[in-house]
Amino acid sequence: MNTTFWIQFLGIIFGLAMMYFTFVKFKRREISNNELLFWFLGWIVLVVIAIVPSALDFIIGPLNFYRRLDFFVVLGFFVLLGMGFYNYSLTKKNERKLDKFVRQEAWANLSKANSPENGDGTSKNFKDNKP
Amino acid sequence: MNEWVVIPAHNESQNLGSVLTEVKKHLFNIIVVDDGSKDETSTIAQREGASVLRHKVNLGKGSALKTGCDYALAQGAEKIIVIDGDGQHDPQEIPRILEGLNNYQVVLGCRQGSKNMPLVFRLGNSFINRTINLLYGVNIKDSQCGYRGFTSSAYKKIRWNASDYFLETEMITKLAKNKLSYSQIDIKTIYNDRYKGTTILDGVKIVLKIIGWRLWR
Repeated sequence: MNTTFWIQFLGIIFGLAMMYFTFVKFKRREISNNELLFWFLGWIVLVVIAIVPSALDFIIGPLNFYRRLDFFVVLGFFVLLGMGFYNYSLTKKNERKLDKFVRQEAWANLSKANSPENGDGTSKNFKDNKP
Repeated sequence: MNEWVVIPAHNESQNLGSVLTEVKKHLFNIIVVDDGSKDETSTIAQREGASVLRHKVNLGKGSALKTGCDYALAQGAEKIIVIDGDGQHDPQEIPRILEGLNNYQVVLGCRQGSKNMPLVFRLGNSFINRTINLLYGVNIKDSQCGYRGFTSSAYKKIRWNASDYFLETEMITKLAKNKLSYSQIDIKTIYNDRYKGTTILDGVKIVLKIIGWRLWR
């Protein structure tokens, strides 16, 4: 057994495991049909490439990578950096939404407490937390 | 004059009562922002007659203060004082801050060097102050002290985006950029047993942010 076999083997196992986890998320209705399709296609491509690495030679050749593995490492870094940035921006967006919601609710509750009959409408003056 | 005190508080049931009792000797318009406390902070604040704004989850000191200051502004506040709810700041300084706001747009408290403050924090504060003074052309003695006062017009200019302990630094940078007039008064600081302020890592992040803000804002 050469080294490439084990890398391919791990790639296939990883791809199949991720397909399973994606399906579990779908069963729990945490992802939609389209998202399931998108991720499944991604994992299938990964498994196919792990089984037939030469399928990507038409890209790797012109780019002058010495080994196929080098290409995957570089591609992996790009994907990770992209996902890191996406997650960061998504977290920031959710943080801002949560911040706005919690602060707005605090205002509304105090308004109710101050005038129990109909509220004094103070929360209408609430400012958004846009940076 | 419509003067308000804003107190952010997170699990401060032990100290908040005494802080409010002291504050009430000087001002009656008090807003306590309970920032997701799990204890009796809100109950104590209500019992002491403060207006209580309650964050259902902990958002951080910056967000809590912003909620309180925005509310004070909506109530027509002309002067706003911010003070910590942990009893670290002496409310007896409130009249001095209010007096300072007659002549300046912002009044900053400066903690006197305390032997109770760990050396590493004293050195860290000194480094942050030097960095901010160098990059923004100000002469701030204590950029991390949370005991401050500002006029409503000044608040509109220094209103921060930071949700956490960066707010004090962001306030200074906006103060400098908007060329607001400011004075600094020495204040007594009471250090409790437990330390809830900034950590060494926060200090490093603050310095990096100061440099970043100078370059990109």
